[in-house]
This record gives sequence, structure tokens and C-alpha cells, in this order.
Amino acid sequence: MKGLAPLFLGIFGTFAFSWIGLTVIPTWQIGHLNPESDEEGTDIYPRPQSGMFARGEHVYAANGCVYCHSQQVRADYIADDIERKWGNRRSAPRDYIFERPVFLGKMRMGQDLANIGARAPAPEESPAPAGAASPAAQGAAVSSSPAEASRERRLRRPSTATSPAATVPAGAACLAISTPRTDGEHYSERSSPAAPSAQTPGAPWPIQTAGLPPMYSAAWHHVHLYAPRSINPDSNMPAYRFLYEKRRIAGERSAEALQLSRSDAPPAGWEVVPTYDAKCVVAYLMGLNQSHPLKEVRSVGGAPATARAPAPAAQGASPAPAAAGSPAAPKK
Amino acid sequence: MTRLVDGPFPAWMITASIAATILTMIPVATVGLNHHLTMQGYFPLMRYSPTLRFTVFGAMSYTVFSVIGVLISLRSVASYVNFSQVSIAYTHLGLYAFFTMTIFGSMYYIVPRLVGREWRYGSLIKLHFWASAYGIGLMTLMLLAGGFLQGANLENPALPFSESIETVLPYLRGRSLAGILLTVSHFIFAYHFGLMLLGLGRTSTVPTFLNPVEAETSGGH
Repeated sequence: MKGLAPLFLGIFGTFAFSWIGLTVIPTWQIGHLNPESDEEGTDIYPRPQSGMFARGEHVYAANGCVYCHSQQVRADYIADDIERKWGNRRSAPRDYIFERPVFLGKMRMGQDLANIGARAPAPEESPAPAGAASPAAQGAAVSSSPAEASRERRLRRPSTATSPAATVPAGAACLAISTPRTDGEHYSERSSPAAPSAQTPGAPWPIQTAGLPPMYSAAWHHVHLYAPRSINPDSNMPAYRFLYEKRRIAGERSAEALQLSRSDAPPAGWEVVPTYDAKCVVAYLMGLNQSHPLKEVRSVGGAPATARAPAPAAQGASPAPAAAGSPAAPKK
Repeated sequence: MTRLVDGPFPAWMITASIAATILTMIPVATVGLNHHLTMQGYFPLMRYSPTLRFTVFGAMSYTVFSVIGVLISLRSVASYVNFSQVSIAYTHLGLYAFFTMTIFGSMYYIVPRLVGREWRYGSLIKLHFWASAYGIGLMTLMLLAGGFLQGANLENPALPFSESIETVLPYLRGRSLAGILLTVSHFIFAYHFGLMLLGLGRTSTVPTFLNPVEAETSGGH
């Protein structure tokens, strides 16, 4: 048949072209990213996560969390993700190098979770997280073992938030993320209309309904997973009760037992404790944290105007301009 | 990449993908024009032929699907609809309104030739068509309308996040209604198909028309 060769070559060329464009070049450009560190080689980000994090990732996948929750923050000039306090900078490819698969998500029937771990209260105030973080690890700026890395990361970041934020410029960039009150405002508004407005940066944690653990702490996540409606009456999240075990209290009440209220509370003499899977998924959520500055992405002080003033000083840690062609400099 | 506009990727990848999506308009227009000109003058036959009804519906949906795909991939639109129900509407348009309806039409053509019998009830075919057409139409409309409102609320930082969810919930109930319609249509088709498999179709040399009386007077097809 005449013209068969051009036809075949045309088809081959078309597919080869898109394969090169969509597979080869991207792999070459962002397929082999490494963690970033500062000049001394410390303060490495991102770090490999703990085993519980990896297992929690599977639980997250198995329960279809990705169908309603995204894990990506878009740039401030495109969308209002940052204004919603879902992050203090846009997500970059480097944020995901240790995650397989990556749950970017394409639906927001629930909040974005890219920085849910960054919103956790300071560890001193949270009851022993299921991830078994020990406050003793807080001082350690560098932790060598991967298992410790996520813990350390989780602990280091909130520690900047515990100090009165307004007076600590270094904390300003992270502030937006470490003070989650506005972000969770619909929760506090609904469950406790009397709660003070959450706008004050650096306000002492927690601002929360009585009887509930501090918002976004591990214990709070457990209560939220077990009974979402007990925290936000309008929540449309399914309850993941099968991740928890209701058992008779043998001897002493377990320290891990959930602080449930009203109709969700187990009968007297019983307690609800998280299974290992529940602990893992909470460890995973607590480990989701993209608040660490990256060189290629501009961190913005997404904080309220009052907290914005010291922000320039904080920018030192995250130089704004990025090379053209890098994710930070998209042509609009 | 349409669904990942402004995601954590190098901007050139997204831009190239958007450009490619816009370029798909060329084949889509070609196919649409081809279909339309083929059908021109024969549209009245859709009154009689089950196959034609379904496939024409599918072919038209393909054009709609592609145009909406281009629209929601544009950066300015995508920033609103990226994480809303609009992408679900888009998926349904492609998978159901186009693909499934076309396959239904093909089955109405193929199955009688395989089993050697004609479809038993013209009325069931009609019912199947209208339940599917209204079902998928309603579902797409609900998801598109709800999704745009949801996206607009998501992009309005003055509103709490929960507002965007509450906005879309009534539309999702409408979508459930559409889902019920589709389920009904599927049961009708399954029953009819089952009859065919059991050899309970009509033995006739004339295919089953939807409006047989009119078909006869106009000479059939």
C-alpha cells in the first residue's frame, strides 16, 4: 500500500513526541530530586518518613481518603489555598520525593491535607500522640535515623509556634501554618459559638470546645476519625469506627483511650482505643507537613496582616527568586 | 494533566498540556462535522431506529465532552473548578454520555444479529433511552452547576470552607436522583438483554422499531 511508511512514521513520531515531552523530559527535570539542606548540610528537607507513616499511607489509600482530600497547595497568585491557611507556600515536586504513591487528589469535599501535620499544636500541649513522639526529642536539631526524622520534624516545627509569634520574626513564615485557628474556624464556630475569635496570632493553644483534645493533635485526629460529627455537627466525613476497638476496661483505663463525649462515648466500664492502623494513619496525617521552606519556592507570610510585618526578616531562610523554568516561576 | 493545572509541577508541563488540550479541538471538530454531515437529512430516522438514537446521542456528547474538557483546562477556569464536582461531571460525560450510550446503541444493533432474534419490546428500548438520556443529562447538569458554585465558594476566602460543601450538597442530591434514573434504565436493559440471551426475542425479518406505525408509513429503514 502506498503511503504506508509515512503513515507509520507519522503515528510513531506522534507518540514518540508526546512520550519525550510527557515522560522523558519531566523525568530528567524532576525525576531525581534530592532533599535540600542549608549551607552546613543540616536542616535537611524533606526527610524519609517513619515506618508508621508508610503504613498510614496505605491505610489512607485503603479508606479512599484521597477521593475527598487533596494534598497540594497552589500558588497564592492562582488560588486562595494559602489564604485559607492550607500552607505557607505552594507545593513543589520536592515535597513529595519520599511519598509513593503521591496523593495529590482532585477533589475537595474535605480540606486540603498537605499541611495537616503542620497545624498540630505544640507537643507539650498535646496528649501523648499515637505516633509515640517523645518531647525529649524536641531539642535534637538533627536526628539521624529515618524513623526519628518524622517525629523530629513534627516536633521542631511547632516549637517555633509556641513562642509568642509576634515577637519572633523567624516564626512568622511558619506562623500562618502553625496557628490553625482561622483555618478551623468553622469547627470552632459551630461547636462553640462562644469561643473567642481565633485571629490573634500566637494565642495560646488551644481554642477549642471544652472536652475535646486540642485541634489537630493526635488525640483530636482520633476523635475526629472515630466520630467526625462530635467535632463538627455538619461534617460530611464518614466515621472510621472500624479502625478502633471498643473493649472492656481491664484494670486501668488505657492512656490511648479516646476522649469521646455524649452519644459517641462508650458505656461505663468500656473504652475505645485505636488499632495499630488508626495510629498509623494519624502518624501519617501528623507527618504531612510542607511548611519547611524550599529554595525553589517562595514562602509567603500567609498570616493575617498583623503577623505580616516581621515576615521579610523571615524570608532570609527562603530566598524568593527562583530560576526560570523551575516550578516557582510559572509563566502566567 | 487537565486535572492537575497549577499543581506541584513545572509550569511548562502544565502549559504544554493545556496547549495540547486546546489542539484536540481539531480532531474533535473533524469528527463532529463528519458525524453531523453524515446524519444530515437522516435525523428523522432517529424516531425509529434504537441504534441511531443512542449513537447520535453519544456522538453529540463527545463534542460536548471535548469542549468542556478544553474549557476546564484553561488556567483561569481551572483555578475555580479544579477541586470541585466539575471534574466528576466531565468524567461522566466522557464515560457515560459518550462511551456507554454509544455502546448501548451498538448492542441494539449487534445483539439481534448474534442471537438471530429481534428485540422483543420497542417500548422497553424507548424507556431505556429516555431514562439514560435524562439520567446522564441531569447528572451532568447537577454536577456542573454544583461544581461551579462549589468552586466559586472555594475560591472565596471570605467564606469558610464548609460553605463550599453545603453549597454543593443539594446538587449532589439531584445527582442521586439522576443515579436512580440510570439504575432503572440499566435494569430495563438487563432484563431486555436477558430475554434476548434466553432466545425469547421476536422472530421477525423486520428489526424492532421504536414507533412501528410511523415507520411503516414512511417506508422504514
